[in-house]
Amino acid sequence: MRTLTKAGLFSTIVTIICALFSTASIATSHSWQFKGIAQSYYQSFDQSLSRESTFNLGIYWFADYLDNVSLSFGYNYTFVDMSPNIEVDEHILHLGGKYSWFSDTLSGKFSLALDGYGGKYTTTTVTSSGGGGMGGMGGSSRITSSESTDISVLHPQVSFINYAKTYYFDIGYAYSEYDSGDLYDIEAHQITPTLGFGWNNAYDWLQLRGYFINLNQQTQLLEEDDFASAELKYIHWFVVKSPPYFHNLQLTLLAGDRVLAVDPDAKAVYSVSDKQTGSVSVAGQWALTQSLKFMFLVGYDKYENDLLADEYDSLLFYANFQNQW
Amino acid sequence: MVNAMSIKNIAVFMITLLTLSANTVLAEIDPWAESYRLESIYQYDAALKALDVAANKGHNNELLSLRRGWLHYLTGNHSKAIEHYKKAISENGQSLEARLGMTLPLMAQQRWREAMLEAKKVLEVAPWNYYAHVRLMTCEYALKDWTSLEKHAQQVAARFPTDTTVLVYLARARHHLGNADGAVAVYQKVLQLSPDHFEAGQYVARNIP
Repeated sequence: MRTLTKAGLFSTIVTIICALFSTASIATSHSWQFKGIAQSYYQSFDQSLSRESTFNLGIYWFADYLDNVSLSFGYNYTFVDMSPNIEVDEHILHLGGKYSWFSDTLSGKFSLALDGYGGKYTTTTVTSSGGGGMGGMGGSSRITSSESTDISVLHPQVSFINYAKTYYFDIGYAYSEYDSGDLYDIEAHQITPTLGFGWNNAYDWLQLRGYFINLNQQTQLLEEDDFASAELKYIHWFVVKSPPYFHNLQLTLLAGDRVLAVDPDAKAVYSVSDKQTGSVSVAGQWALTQSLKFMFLVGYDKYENDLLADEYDSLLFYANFQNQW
Repeated sequence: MVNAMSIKNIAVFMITLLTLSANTVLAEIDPWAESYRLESIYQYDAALKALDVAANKGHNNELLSLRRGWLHYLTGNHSKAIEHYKKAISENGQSLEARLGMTLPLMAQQRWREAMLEAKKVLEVAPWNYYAHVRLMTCEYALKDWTSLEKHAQQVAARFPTDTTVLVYLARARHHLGNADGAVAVYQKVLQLSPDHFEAGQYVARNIP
């Protein structure tokens, strides 16, 4: 059944990508610029009592109108293989918009962005009942039960970058709601102040972002309701050459606790993860042609599950292709 | 007593005459000439203010918009400059000058794609307009679009072979595309045209053993 679902999903994604790409190919206006990203990641968990692996497929579509307006659309499918006999399927849609205006007083660009995410994850549990038998009236039976959680997230953000691209500031607020009917209704409030610094003619970039997350209630999985973490990101862009060439290198460190986080840069909602307690990742991006880029990321993450007293880590392999028209 | 009264009357008459003359002179100052004079001594705000007199007299709105756009650009008030250039375009949709003028504050605000759009609109009408090409090349350079810049600069250099600005863009594009020999060849041409050219001299010295 799942094989069919995955096949159907894959063809849906391919259809959407083809439709979006053909839209771009017929776009002749100089005013619009399009970017499409197809991504996938695989995360394998080590020494976890509850998780085996996570698999993701996603697409993003960005449409920029001149230098002022940017629109984005995204779809992500995530499958979590949990042990024993628990699976999580998640579908999330993303819609976003950004408007920029230009200040002569501060010599820089202000942007107001609003991102929305909506979707659902379903946790399916398969249990066996009864003992061994010989068929007929006896034997075991498999019982499948599932619970769904509706996800809705609203994330406004104000940012400023100076024209010289030597400093950047943003502040974002995310309101997330996880509604599972009678089981629970969790609200998460996230504030993300960010500072960025550029140097070496904007070939180097250092960014520090704080994640301050508050949940409206404690849950069985989380014994606390306030979480704080800091993310440090360094990006170096290499001098542009004739493709193919190594385009940029990115290092990211996360320290502190983070749960139900909304990542403003990745336009991702970390809704099906346990509490993240640390992370390090390195990513490289290659320019394959003038418009096509390939990114590969390897990450090591640490997690905790308070209910199961489960502390574990994971290896993440992420790849994406992005094309610009 | 009579003499004293006469002197006083003469003095009052002279002051009145001088005041009237001064007012007449002031009233006769051409606001455009005054605006250009103030610009030449870098008093851009005053140069803008001088134009208010012309506006009050109902002078040509298109020229006022162009002039105000330019002066706002010089003061660094780029948003206002764009506003006035847009007004000039709305007053005369055929004006290439207004579109070229608008590229300047757009580039100052790093709105490269908008500036490119305006330059391309000029090139649709005037395919070899020098300023439109140079501003387009500036945008391509800022956006690090080296492939487009190389192709573009090569085409423009063929039409303006002694222009060092265009040649430098061509050389830079070749350098970024990893074609150091091609860049050296162009920089050598720049040195023929401008023997003291610093960038060309440095590049050639570094890249020729």
